[in-house]
Amino acid sequence: MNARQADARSAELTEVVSFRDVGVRYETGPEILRDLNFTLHRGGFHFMTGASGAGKSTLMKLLYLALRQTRGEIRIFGRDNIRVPREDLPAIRRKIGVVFQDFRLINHLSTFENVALPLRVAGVDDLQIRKNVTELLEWVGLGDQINAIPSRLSGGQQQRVAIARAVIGRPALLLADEPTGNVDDRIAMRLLYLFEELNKLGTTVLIATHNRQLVRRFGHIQWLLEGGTVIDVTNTNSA
Amino acid sequence: MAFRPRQSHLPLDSDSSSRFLPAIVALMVALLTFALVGLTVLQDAVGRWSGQIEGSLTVQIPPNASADLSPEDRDHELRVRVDEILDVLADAPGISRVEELSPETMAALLEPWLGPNEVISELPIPRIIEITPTTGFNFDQLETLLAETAPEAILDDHRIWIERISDVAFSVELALITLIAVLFGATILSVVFATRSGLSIHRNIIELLHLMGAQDTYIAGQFARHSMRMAFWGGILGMGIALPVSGLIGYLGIRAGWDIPGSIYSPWFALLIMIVPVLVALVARITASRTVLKVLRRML
Ligand SMILES: Nc1ncnc2c1ncn2[C@@H]1O[C@H](COP(=O)(O)OP(=O)(O)OP(=O)(O)O)[C@@H](O)[C@H]1O
Ligand SMILES: [Mg+2]
Repeated sequence: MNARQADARSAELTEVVSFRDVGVRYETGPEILRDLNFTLHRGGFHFMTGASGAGKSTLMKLLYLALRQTRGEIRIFGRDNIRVPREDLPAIRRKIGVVFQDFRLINHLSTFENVALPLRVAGVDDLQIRKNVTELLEWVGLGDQINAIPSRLSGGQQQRVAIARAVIGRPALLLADEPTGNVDDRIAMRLLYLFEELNKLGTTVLIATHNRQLVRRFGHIQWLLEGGTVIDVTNTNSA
Repeated sequence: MAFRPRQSHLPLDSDSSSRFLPAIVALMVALLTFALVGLTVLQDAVGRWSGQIEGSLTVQIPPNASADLSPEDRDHELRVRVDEILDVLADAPGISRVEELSPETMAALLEPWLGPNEVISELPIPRIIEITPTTGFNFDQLETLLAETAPEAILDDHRIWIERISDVAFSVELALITLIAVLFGATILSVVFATRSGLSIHRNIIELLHLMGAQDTYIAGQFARHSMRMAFWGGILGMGIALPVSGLIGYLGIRAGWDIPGSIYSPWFALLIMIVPVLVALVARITASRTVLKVLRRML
């Protein structure tokens, strides 16, 4: 094995997601995303900004396997998203935590049960669930809302439940679509610290947001989604 | 609680859409229970009715019509012939009872037409023997036998009646069985539709669980158990409505002098009724499971 091969090999090991010439259109509509070429590495922390309608949520959908590209190749945890057998998908999905732009909380379940859901699905035992969920809810400031149902919570509180649910399973890849849109700056900072903590433990993070101030304050890799494709603007912005 | 899942991960019971399924199942099970009780009662009644008709055959022995016999001689001659026929019938196969109608009975029967008793002994009245056939009875064989011993005897067979009654009994039973079959089909269909519409309300949950990496069988199992429980309690509710009402009708019927068939109290009938909610619950379970799996297969 020569040095170049070794490099390629270790790069592959740290590769969480890679896109090659990926394009997407919804049915017969125009191509929303095109020429996507990027790689997300283990432990990477990315912000993605872009105008409303630029395709941020669409890109997220590709990443959490709810949508298939119309061209190009996507590999997630080393597996081709189209060729992977259907029965292997749940195992891949369990390694991905998602904060949906519209939260998608289950309305007749309590805050506790909503957050516990990914653990239940993975078959974690009750005692462990009780401990972890309670702890995390305290951390995001919802310790007193454990038994509340989502419709009784404020928008910001619902958002925190959605975030708690996304991180409870310590995912290898965390996708957060506008996770701080409904909270004040103080809580937004706190939530981003939570993501950073997770990131330090090895989680790859991708956050779509409109909040440029936040992006600037936290540094990290910065992407701009424009013209249907991702442009790395990290150095442009920090300069 | 029956069918309580070991771990209820999704307390689906607490959302309001869960009331639709038990309600529709309760209604259908109540109708089905009524139909089953009705079928049993009617089947029994028709059976007894035709049994009564079938039970009686009569042999008529006309008196000697020649005018030169005195009433006493005629009577004696008739007596001898009747005894002879009674002997023959007693030995014939497939007959459980032979009974000659007494002159008093005959007189009583004829009184409306002929007036008081004295006249009757003066008239050449035929004698009637009632026969109750049992298994092994052969009509043609009896006819030949009588033709040999007493060609003048008339075998009144009610054959037409027996045939008509069994036709009616058959149609009534057929109609009721069809009704039960239709009701059963309707119950199953309504469980299918109620389960499906319940699931479409939960579509977002199904999708969410799917995206969280739940196995198809896990999601299907959650909904299948939920639907099964809803349908089971709906079925119990339906029976809880239908049985007391049937009981009340039965009680009023007994007071009005009906015969309530014993088959209603048999353990087989009880078992049949008990099976209904269990069956409905199973249908709901299978439907929910298959519907969820179908929805999931369309997702990536
Ligand atoms: N399910 C869909 N079917 C058809 N077109 C869609 C669908 N979802 C999104 N689109 C289109 O794709 C484009 C990108 O939408 P997307 O939701 O990805 O934007 P976004 O960057 O997330 O916007 P925002 O910042 O407002 O959330 C839009 O023009 C939208 O109309
Ligand atoms: Mg969006």
